[in-house]
Amino acid sequence: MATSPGKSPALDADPEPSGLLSATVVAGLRNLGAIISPPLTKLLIANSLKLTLHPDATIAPVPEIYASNAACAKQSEYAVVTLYALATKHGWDGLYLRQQLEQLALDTGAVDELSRVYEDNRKELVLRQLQLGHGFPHITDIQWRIVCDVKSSTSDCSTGVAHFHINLGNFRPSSGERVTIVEFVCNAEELQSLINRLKEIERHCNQMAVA
Amino acid sequence: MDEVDKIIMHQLHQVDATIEPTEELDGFTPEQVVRAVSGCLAEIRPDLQLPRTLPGGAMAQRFGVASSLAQGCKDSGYRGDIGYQTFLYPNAVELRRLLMFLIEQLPRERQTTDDGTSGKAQSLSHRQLLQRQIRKELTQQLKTPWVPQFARSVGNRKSLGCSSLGIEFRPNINLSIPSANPEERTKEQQQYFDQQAPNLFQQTASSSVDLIASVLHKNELDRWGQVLPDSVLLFVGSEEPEAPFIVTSTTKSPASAEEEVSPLQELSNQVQELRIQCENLLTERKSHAATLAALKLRETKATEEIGRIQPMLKLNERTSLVLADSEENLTKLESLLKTTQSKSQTLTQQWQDYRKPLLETLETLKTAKGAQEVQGIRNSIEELEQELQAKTQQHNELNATLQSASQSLAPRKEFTRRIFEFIGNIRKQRGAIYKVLDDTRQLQKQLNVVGAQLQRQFNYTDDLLFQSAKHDLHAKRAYKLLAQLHSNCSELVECVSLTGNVTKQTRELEVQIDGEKLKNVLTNLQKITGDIQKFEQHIQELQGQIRALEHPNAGS
Repeated sequence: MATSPGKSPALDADPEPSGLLSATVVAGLRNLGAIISPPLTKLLIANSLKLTLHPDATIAPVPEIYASNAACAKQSEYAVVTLYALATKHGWDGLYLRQQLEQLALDTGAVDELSRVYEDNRKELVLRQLQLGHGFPHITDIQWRIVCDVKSSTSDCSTGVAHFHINLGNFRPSSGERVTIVEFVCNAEELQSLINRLKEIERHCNQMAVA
Repeated sequence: MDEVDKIIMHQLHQVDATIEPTEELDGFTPEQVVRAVSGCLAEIRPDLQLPRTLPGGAMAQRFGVASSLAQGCKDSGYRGDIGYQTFLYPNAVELRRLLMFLIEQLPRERQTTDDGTSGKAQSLSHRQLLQRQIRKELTQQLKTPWVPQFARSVGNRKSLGCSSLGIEFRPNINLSIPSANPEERTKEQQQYFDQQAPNLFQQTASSSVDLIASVLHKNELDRWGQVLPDSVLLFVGSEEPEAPFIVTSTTKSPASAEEEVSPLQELSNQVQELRIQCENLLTERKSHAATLAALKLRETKATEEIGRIQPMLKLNERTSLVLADSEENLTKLESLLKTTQSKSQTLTQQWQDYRKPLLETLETLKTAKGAQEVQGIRNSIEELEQELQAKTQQHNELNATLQSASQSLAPRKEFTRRIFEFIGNIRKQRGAIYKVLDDTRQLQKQLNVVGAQLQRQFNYTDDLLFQSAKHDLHAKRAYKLLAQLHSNCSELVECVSLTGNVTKQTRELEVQIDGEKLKNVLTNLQKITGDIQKFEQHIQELQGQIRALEHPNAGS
């Protein structure tokens, strides 16, 4: 069932999950098996899923999808990706997805294909989506060096005190470039204290796990 | 055995509710055995991935399940004989042993809670459940091997869904997707979508946006976009140069929309008006506040000025008063000046009066103190001098004694030498005396021996002669002669001993004489005689005086 555009969805108290799909998505889904031929539909769904799961993967372009009626194909691609994203987000199982799709009165072949692919790749989709979101950065890499000032704006000669220059960061999963999260300077004593604190955390975790 | 079986069944029922406590161990089917053992193992080692049921069909699968369970039991520390046969062809005795071991290994905490609440595991508080979950998670995390960040999505996928590979939720807010109704699109738009428009994946290929975030955003935007004011939609965040974008009028047919939207429109218009009013009021308020602040500033300045001017004003007033009647005031002031001067003079006088005696006393005290100190020092000096003299005297005396001691040292040596000589002489003399004494003793011995011999010989001859004398006249005469000889000889011996005594006495006398001679008897005698003579003269004189005294008395 498509949400009629004039009707305000906010007033739609009905928790019908198909209300989660926008009109564009519904239109795109309706194209499957109808405007787009069943074999192309299969291909399109598989292609969309692959690109969803592995955004960085280089997948051979499939020009025949866009050979005729490219606008519909683009719309359908968007619809498939959105459908899977929403289904994963709301934790639908294969059966529920099928019910929802059947309510939208889609082509049965397309419904079969969509629910089959969803069931087969549900775990991957969940994992893919679990990675997404805002959160505190994980620290997976530490770089350090020992530094000593040679000259400052207030003194012409070095103080002779060595410091640790520590840089905590991680690597961006998509591109692999390094991201600095914290950068600080400390002396040996402060470093020791930090390490002790971290060790304390580890001990505490061990205790928690053992108790 | 029944009791043991009951306990085992009770525990198993708590571990897995599908196992009926009424069943007996003898009657356990392989399926039940697998359920029971895998249930216990799952409780003991939750990290272990074990099959929960025995598959019905293929023998190979059944065998695999049974042997994996057997391995699990061995890993948990079961020492008994165990293998796939234990599960596939159960034997009551072995099974009992295995289940008892597993039940002993069950975590305590679970047992206690289960015993206490008898199977109401859900009655555990949420907090406890959460703690347990945290603990489980932590143990799992602590056991996992370290995996480099790039490999984490693969390496930890099995056990942990999430890894540190976070992807920021960054949607491409300008996704260009053909809208739902193809009739709305213009010809140019249709052409664009058909030919040039990049597909969804191309639009989200950039690393700064994410596909799923973008589609979720676009979907929500399509659903809610019409009801939200435009300002809310315009949030900035895209780092990308915007993708070629064609404004697609949102999906509404104006004809049907107008009727339904008009009250909404009205309301939004009202809201708009109110917002404008509110803004106006706010700006007004702001300007008023600014003027208020300026005015306050002025006020503070003015008060400061007043504070500064007031003392000057007072001064001015007083001077003007004085200047109004100048001559009279002048005289007044002069008189005032004079009185104050005289007052000050008297005061200084008084001050001097008081001060002088005090200063004097101070001076005297100072001098007295000084003199006392000097006297004290002098006294001490004198004492020290006396002491010095005494010491020097003592020193001289001691020097003298020292010298004398050193002088008398030499004769002492001499004396000792002499004494040693004397001692030596005395020793020699003693030796000589002892020799003489020995000689005399020897002599006396010989004498005694000879005397005794003589006596015996005499006695013998006497006897012999006496017996023969009775018969012979000659012998009689010989006997008489012998007796005569004997008496004469004894006289002779007596004489010798007497002479010896006499010589001894003479010697002693000689020694006495020598001693007397040594005592200067002569001179002493002369002195004594002289004294006697003097005494005699004195006596004579005294007698003469006495006579002279007597005579006049007699004469008178």
